[in-house]
Amino acid sequence: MKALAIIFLALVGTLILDGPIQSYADPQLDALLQIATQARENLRMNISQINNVSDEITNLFKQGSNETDALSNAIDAKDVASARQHFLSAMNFFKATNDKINSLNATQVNDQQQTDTLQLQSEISRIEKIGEMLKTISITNHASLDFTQFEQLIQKAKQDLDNGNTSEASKSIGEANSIVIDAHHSLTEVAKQRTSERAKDFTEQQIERLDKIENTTKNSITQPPKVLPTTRTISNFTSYENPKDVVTKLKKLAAEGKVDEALKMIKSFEAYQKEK
Amino acid sequence: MPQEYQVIEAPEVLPEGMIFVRINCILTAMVRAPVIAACFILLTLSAFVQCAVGSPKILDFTIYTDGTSHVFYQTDVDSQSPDSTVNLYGNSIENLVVQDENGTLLLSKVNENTTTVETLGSPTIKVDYDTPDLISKNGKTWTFHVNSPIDYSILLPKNSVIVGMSVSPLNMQIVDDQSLISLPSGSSEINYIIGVLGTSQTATLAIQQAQDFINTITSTGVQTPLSFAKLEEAKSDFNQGKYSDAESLANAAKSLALQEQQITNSVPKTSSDNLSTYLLIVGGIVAAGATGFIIMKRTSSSNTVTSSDITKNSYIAPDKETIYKLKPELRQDDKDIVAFISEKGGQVFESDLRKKFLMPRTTMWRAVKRLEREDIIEIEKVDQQNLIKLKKTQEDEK
Repeated sequence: MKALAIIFLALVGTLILDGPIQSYADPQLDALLQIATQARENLRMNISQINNVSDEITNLFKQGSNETDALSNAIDAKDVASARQHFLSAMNFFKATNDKINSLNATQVNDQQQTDTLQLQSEISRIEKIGEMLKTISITNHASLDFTQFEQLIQKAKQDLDNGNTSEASKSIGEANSIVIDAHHSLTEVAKQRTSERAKDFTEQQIERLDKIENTTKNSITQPPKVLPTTRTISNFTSYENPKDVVTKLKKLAAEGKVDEALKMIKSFEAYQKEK
Repeated sequence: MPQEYQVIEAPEVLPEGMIFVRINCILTAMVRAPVIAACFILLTLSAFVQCAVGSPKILDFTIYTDGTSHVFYQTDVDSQSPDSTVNLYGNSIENLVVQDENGTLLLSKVNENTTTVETLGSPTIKVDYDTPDLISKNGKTWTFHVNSPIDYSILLPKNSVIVGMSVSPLNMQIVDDQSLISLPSGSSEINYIIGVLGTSQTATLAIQQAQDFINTITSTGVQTPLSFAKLEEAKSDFNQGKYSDAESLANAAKSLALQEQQITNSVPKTSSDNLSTYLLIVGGIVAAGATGFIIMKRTSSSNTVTSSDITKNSYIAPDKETIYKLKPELRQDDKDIVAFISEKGGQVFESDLRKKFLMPRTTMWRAVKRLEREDIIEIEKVDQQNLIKLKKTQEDEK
């Protein structure tokens, strides 16, 4: 009984130790405060730019600000549940404040030049990332696509943008985008070619696997045949219930080069096996 | 209706095959208690096992300022099936690329918001695409909305500030001036604004950090008039909307505070101070020696391995630059992890990574598994700890 007590004590200890591991799933409290504080500071700045701030906006912002303070206090008290509640509440008030400011349309409208620059920077960044990814895929798949012109265009677009020449930058981005589209098409073609080879390999592997299963079943103790509620047939002479027939049919299709049909059959057989 | 059990006096001669059991002793008599205990232990450990051997899926969103989202999705598929269908987020899909775990391009066909991929035996697929459908705009406010079946991460554009959020994030960090937020599964909405306030986000952060640092060293008795004045300038510039200047000034204030701390520490102390310092040092050495002796005595039979011990063996760390070259698509936070492991001789414990990057266990585990899938690292169990090793690349082996 003493040993039993020790075991159960150890169990209790283990369960207690599980606690801190679970706590890793809790939100990082500092992150909550950081997000809420940034939202507050930015809205405060926005509000300061409005001439006649309505009481509604002021009140909403004040409530959000109070919730942020309460969030800070909850974090100090290490009260995770309360911190989460105050965070969501604060963000709710800030969203409402922001919506009200938006509806007023009272804040300064973005400078068009700045908007264009931001948009173009974003496009460059996105296209550059896609280009890098396609380049990596091209290398991995031995597709030998040349990305030199793409890289030059991206560099040129960046320089043009730095010099404030947005129209030239836009042109370079357009050309770079065309290269990306072409590369994507070329790689799709490569994938198509490789797919037929891979499909053949896959069919052979599946035939081998099913053959092994068939042999194992044959060598094992004979069991009475399972009565299944439904019986499907692949063709007039092949039944899914008999893997031997499936293997024979697959081998025949593979030999005739009808890989697509073989794949369909493998897929149907797998689905049947899962259903079974 | 509760059943009642009575104690039955067993007859002296029982018929063959009959056993009388007292119901209050059934646990110890019929099912052995250690077996129950073992079951409980297994149940308790099952959570860890599930975490360790489960196939985590990855879902990352990168948001661009033009309202496009780049989606990266990694999932396990049935390797016995010739094709697999996976869900896509959004209906308008651009630049769709599907690869297997080795980076081999796979053929795929988009059907509305799903794609059928010819996996042909691949156990894992990686899906990359762009979609404008996850983001809407109202006035200056952008709204990202997604309903995810798994935990996911979202990388917001530079100079963006969150002004609304419908769920509590799991984590947040700044990567290359961009907010990288981990969010829990389920429906979530993030409202953010871009551009108008420039770098106010980073300026706020810099001011906060400088303020915290100055407060910390001031509380230890260090006088910080210069750094305090600089910080006030930073705040003033911030209030005038000069965010870049405010950020620079805040960083300068932090550097000044550091200098002020160093100057204060370098000033010669009084003899009484010195005496107490010496006493403290000697006391510390004695205490450390005694503690060390006790620990050595107690743990003489166990082999505790530390990162520094491990680096002494013949393992030669692969070059991080070679890894970056071979894997240019690596995320910045993954590159940082690789750089740290490389600096530590090519192998560190996972716990060291968590300490360095201040990440929760689950986040770090996902990052480590991601690098393992990329074939950059390998995980070894050393003294029940995960030892993360950079794998040798083909170029390194040459």
